[in-house]
Amino acid sequence: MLKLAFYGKGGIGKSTVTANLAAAFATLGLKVIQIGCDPKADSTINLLHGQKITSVMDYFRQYDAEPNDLETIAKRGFKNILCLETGGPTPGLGCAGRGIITTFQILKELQLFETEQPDVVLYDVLGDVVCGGFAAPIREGYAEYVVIVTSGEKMALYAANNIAQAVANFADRSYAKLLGLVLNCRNVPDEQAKVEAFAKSVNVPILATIPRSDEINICEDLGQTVLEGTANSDIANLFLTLASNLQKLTKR
Amino acid sequence: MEDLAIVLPSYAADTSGVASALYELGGLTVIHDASGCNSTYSTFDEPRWFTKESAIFISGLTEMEAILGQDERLINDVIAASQAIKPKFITLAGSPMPHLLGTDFKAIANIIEEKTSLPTINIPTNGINTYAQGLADAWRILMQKLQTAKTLKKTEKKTKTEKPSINLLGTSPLDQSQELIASLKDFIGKNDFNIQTNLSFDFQGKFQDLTRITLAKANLVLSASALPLAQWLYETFEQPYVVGWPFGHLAKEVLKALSKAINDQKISYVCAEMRNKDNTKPTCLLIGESVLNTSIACALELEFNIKTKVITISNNSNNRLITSHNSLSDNIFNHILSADDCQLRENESAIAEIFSQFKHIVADPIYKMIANPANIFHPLGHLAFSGRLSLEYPGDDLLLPSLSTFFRRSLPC
Repeated sequence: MLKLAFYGKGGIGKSTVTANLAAAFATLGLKVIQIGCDPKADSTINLLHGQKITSVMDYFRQYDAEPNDLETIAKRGFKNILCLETGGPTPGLGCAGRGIITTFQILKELQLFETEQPDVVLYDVLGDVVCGGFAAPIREGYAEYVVIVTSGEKMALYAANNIAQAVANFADRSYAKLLGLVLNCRNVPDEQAKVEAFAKSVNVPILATIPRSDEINICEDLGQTVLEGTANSDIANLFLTLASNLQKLTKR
Repeated sequence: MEDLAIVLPSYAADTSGVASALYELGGLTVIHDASGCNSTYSTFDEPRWFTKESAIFISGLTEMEAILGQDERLINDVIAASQAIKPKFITLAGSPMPHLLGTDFKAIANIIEEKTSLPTINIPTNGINTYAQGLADAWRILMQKLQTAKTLKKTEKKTKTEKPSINLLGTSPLDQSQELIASLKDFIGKNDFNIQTNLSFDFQGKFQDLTRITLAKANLVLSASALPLAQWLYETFEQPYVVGWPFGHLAKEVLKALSKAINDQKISYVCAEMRNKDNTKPTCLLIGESVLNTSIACALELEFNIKTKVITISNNSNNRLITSHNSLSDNIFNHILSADDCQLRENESAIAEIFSQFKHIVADPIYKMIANPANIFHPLGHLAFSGRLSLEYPGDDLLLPSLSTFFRRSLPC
């Protein structure tokens, strides 16, 4: 089972990269779960034709009880990808990090991995590792590898560096290891060189470079990934290649 | 307001269960909690505190350590304490604050184990679940850890004894009095069995005794909290178990079941199997730990030909305040309880209403305060519920050949 957690600065395109990669893995014939770990609960929206699902936190809000089965909090999306969202508290109140931990406890109780037997699990995590809750996806038993999504923008690289340091600080805790970067281009000057320099400084490779793409935006407007909306495009092939490379890299 | 309890206290929490389960086993029990709360775990809920030593360490979690995520201080303090005390193993248990923070005790336990070379376990407590779950997790997780550490495998050399040996699993002052345990040990000794290990009340042994637990021919399970361990021992070492106390006329059935377990590897829930299953209305109500109280209920039914109902403490599975794991599943209680029995999920006024439907009540003395004047009340102390108030009602006379001594005030018929 390949388990990856995606981190990066807010608005950098984590959900776009994660959902397209989930669709690519599924297109390669693998059984995939995507878990959105963001209070906005929109990570999986483009695997579900724009439909939002009842997040775990929404379920608590609505029923004042734990969900008793997966069906109430999960939906099947593109190519049968199982989509889940942690959701979060009322904005400005509560504790979003604790919400992620609670969600993971519930998924464990519901024996998600044992019953689903997935080949790939992708965690799409909010912004930065701001507290223990946002490190939950990389704890032992969850993601094995961290992928940071970044552009060449200064603040994106600053956040990426913070995440890389946090992962390094957890080395003695048997947490997930940093696997590499995905460069989601914003077309800033010297973008490739800047991100290459950062990758070298944290000693990981750039796993893929995603160019600015109108096709991604058009497909997202339709609630789709490029693997669904424009399956034979170069950008779709790029995600297929990334999925294939990740399989090889982690097998090694 | 309907859930308001004016008279009844809550049962002890899971952290007290952990401290109690491990009290005499030679480890260092660390409870990650704000300072000043040591008494809850080791004096109020622990009658052994003034007579037997135990290494219990409360971390003294501060507000700023919680905000800043300074797990290093906990790790360093535990390592320093272990170097001073030299325990055989280390246990980490959390309280409500680390539970809400999501402290990763599993990772912290791994770091401490690496730095001290001592077996280090984490019991997933949150200070909200019941003591019964703390007991259950502590016993099971410790024994599984010892198995992982291959210490249990060192027990191949068997001692030759005339009598077959059994373990007593599930003893803790939170559930049974010292007098009752002493009477039980006396009874077992007089009936051609040796006690290999008494886990964990009146342990009085060395840490190595824990590793010899697999030498016994069978386990006598004395509380629901011991069932996860008993089931694991059965699956791992083919050690059969019998569930029930040898009270009154039930005693000979328990002894028969133990012999069958030893000879035929047969598991028996004798406290449930011998219950009255007819459709008559129960006249005697018992409240408390499930194995203890279904055993009394069964003995009452056998001796006085009556029907009983047992309300046992809840495993919290329907508690909407709690989202953590639940090792005492409904399935465990389904094996112990009979059709008329149930788990305690009622509020104080509902319990009082239930009392009015019964002639006899067997329960901790505090319940008498909400009993109906018409009830004939038989007090049986339960330390996890009423603390030291329970010590006056040890219930050791339940182990006599007849229950009539315990029910001397009025026979339940």
